[in-house]
Amino acid sequence: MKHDTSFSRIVFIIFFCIILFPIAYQTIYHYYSSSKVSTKFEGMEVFNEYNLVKRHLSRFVAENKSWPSSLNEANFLSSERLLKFNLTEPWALKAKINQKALRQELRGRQIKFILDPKSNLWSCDSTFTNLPKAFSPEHCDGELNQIISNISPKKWSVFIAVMSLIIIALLATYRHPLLKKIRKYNFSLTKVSFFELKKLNFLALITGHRKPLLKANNLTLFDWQRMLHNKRSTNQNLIKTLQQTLPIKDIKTESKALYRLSLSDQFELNITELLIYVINEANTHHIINRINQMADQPVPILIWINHPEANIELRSQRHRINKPCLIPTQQQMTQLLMYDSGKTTLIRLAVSHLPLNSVSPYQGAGGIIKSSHFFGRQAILDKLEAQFQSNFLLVGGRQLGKTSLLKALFRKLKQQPDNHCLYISLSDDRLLPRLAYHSGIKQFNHLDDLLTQIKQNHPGKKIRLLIDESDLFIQTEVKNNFQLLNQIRQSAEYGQCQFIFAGFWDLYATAVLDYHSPLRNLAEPITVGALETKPAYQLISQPMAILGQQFASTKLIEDIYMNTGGRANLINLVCEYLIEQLTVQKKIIDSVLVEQAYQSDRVLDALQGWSNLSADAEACSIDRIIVYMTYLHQQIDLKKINQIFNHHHIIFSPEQLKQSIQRLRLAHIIIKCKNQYCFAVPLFSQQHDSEEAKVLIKQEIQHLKS
Amino acid sequence: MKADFADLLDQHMRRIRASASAVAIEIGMSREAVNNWRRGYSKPSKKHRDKVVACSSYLRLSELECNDLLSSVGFNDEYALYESHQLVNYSNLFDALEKAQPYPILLVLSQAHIDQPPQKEIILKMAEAKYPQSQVMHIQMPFAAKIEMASFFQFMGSQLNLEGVEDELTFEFKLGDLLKSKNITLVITRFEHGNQACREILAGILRNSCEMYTGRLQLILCGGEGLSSLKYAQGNLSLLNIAVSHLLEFNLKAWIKSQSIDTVLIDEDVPTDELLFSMIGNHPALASPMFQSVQLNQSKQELVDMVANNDMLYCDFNQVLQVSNVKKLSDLLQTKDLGPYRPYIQEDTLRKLFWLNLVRKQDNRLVWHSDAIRNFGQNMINEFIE
Repeated sequence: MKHDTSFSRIVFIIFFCIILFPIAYQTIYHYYSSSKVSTKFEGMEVFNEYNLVKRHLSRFVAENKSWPSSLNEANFLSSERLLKFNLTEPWALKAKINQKALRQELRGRQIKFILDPKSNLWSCDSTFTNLPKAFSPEHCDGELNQIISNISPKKWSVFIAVMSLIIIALLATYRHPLLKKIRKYNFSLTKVSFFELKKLNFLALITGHRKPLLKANNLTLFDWQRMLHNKRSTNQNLIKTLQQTLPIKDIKTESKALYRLSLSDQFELNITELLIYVINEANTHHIINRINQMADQPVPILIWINHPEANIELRSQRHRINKPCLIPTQQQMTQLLMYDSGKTTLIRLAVSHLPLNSVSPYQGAGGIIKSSHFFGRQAILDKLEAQFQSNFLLVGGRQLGKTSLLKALFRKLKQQPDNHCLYISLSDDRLLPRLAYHSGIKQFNHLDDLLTQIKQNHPGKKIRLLIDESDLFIQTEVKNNFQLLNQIRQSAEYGQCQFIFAGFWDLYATAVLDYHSPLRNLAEPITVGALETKPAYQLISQPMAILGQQFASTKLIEDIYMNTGGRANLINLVCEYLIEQLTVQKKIIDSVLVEQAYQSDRVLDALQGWSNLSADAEACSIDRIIVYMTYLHQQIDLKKINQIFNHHHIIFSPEQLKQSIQRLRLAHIIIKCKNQYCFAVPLFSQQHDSEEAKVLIKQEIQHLKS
Repeated sequence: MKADFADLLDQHMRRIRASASAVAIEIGMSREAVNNWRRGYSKPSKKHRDKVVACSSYLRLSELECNDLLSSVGFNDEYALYESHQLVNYSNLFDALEKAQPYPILLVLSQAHIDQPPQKEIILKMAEAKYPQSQVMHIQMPFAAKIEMASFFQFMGSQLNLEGVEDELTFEFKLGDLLKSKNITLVITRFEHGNQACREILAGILRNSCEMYTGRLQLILCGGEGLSSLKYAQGNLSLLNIAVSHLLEFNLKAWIKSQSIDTVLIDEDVPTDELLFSMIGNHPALASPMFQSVQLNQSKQELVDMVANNDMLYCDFNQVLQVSNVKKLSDLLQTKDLGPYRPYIQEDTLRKLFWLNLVRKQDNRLVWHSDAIRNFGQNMINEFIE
């Protein structure tokens, strides 16, 4: 849509002026005539009648080359109104004003004009003509012609000047740099200074630009007026506007000019809080001192200065401020107040003003706590959300994303009014006291009683319990002959609530390998493994793009995905390292940097911690030997594993070996490669060379034998 | 005049009302042996120097008191006294903690001889200055390996001023209540010590608290080999899985530079810091006595002899031999480059050498601190074989 109609408006107005001009001229002329010349009007009427006869006689003389003796001879048939004509003297037209004239001073007066037959020109005989001076024509020593001829040229030039001024004013308004600027950017306000908004509003209003302006910026008149009033009204008004345009969850007023904003989890950067400091003074020295004297805290401060010069000066002196701060430009101040650009402007500001690593959304450890940082697993999430009647077991190795998944589900369900969701992380086997504590229930008799109380506290809601780190609980349940799990199963069957357990080996073994376990029929196991390809690619590239970083080639994204085996935590750690390096030195991400990231301490760190996947020491030993063998042979199978144990006269049941392989697969250490097993994460294979692997296998065997 | 070992030990044991049997359990000796030390019937042998260090740790002795205790038996100092200078650079410690958001859990790992008491004080002071809006708290794990779960958590609760803690569950809930009201920076020293079951439960509770009250709890766990092994070798404490490790590293040259006094030149061709580095590498405990000897104008040969006769090195190598066989250690002593550095060193002997601070990390490789230390080990093995 083309919003800019001003040029056609200008053309239209000019065209309108041209049409209007003669009409206006006439109007002014007649007005002048009727007001200023009213007194001379009768004199003019006399002369009009006289001139009529003069013109007729001129024509007659030109045709007949003789002077008529009377008006009849000259074929002048009109009746005489105010004048009595006398043509007796050749070449002289005498007239006497009769009694019909209204003005006393005109009655009986005489006029005489003499015609030169050669040139056919009339001249006044002032000796004979005895009209009063005011009614006598200019060439008869009178003033009548002079007055009439003075009106027109003077007024004409004034009129042209006025018209020119109007056109210049119109052009100056329509072609105002501010309007030109917004026309250039399709009426977007993003390039307009916050301090020019009021002027723009006036210009837009008189030129009819306001409607397209609001439309192009998705603003209502109310929003627009609120934006305009921010400059002069209270800080509260500004904060209210920002609350609408930025992803703000909560606002706390710290002082008259300082506000603490909690940002929602939709905000893409790793900033949870932001202080807004609204400043109305212009002295930058005072401003800087005041900010520097504020208490040390890691929360960045958005400095909002309601003074254009101070804004420019403070930005140039930003290095003098010892706090992490964001100082928007005047255009960015406008952008922050708009729905469409508020969030992106805040992101751009944070990325450019704060160290990259402090705002990076990459999170290599622990459950992802922000929706904007969570990628993939959509199918699982949808299933868990949709199937309230079913219970689930999320099974997977450490750091594969079970907690992140549960927290993502928790965030989603929390927003739904028909759900009451509880997330509980277990550090031991005691589920019920924790369930009671987090539900705010002081006393209960058993699970059923507890669930009934929870339901009573949340009537009409679906109760969903997300139980993380449930391996120890399951271990105890196995020992107690599934006492509580049987109750859970019963409650679940009655549809009292949904249970979702997350854990690793004990949970998996109990649910899948133990035929008699109540978990088998209670819940559906879902394996949480590597991230799906597309979300993994998005996890690598999207936050990087938000942080304004570029990969030298898209192949590097693929390389990171392949080398990390799609493990979300490793992708996060690699990208985290990249961001660390880019914070120190800005550059395009190349293969050398990516290679350094693979070798970084935190990535190597995350590749550890697999050596005790089970509570059973012997099972762990088998796991380790299988892993070391994979270092040695790159690909292994049960035959090779069996061979080494046979060689050292160590006997394990096929079930133990199968379980070990399954455990390593669940932990995403190994994956099936055709008919064999290889490392799921190629980076893992760089941990040890074959010589080290031989030594380690030897140590493990010795340990097993002892 | 040197104080008497028996008197000092008795005085320190009385101060914290430690029984001989408790000390004995802690340091892995018999009760009789400890009683004999206390009564002056016997003194620790060169082999038992590490037991005296462990004993001073259990008795919560300061660095100076520990050195005095060792000195009373004729042993070299364990801790270098560094005036106001910090042994290692802690400035980037809190950067690591801040980068670990939203789960700020930091493992401060230190090899032997960079001990925890001064570390704890420095970390607490820095944390208090850095996080004024967060309450900085410190807890120390109980030493006793045999402790009831309830007593363990009551002790923990009392250190955090949590009222009504009866057992691990009430500890968890009271800590949860506290976290609902304010942010806490919690420094835990000697995390690897004490009762394993209690430690595991505590780790679980802390992990839960981090998950349930995200961003409200900052954790700094200090330790050494044991803590590292809890994270990497065992891997069943999920708290440690999500923690960020920070290895404190001593740099001899930087330390010499930070000294307020001018360094005496003992070899005109080689700067003193280079000379000392060639002898002891970045060994923190040898740095101070060697530097003091330099200042006393001792000759180069005397410095070499100091390293060759150091009883702390003897004790450390002796500890390595307890977990390794002679051949394995001998093979490693023949090798200059000991392989790549990994956060967890899988090979037992190498891992012990690293944590006893006989080898160091250099450009992501493991190397001996110095040839002099390597020779010391080789000579010791030769004596051992003979």
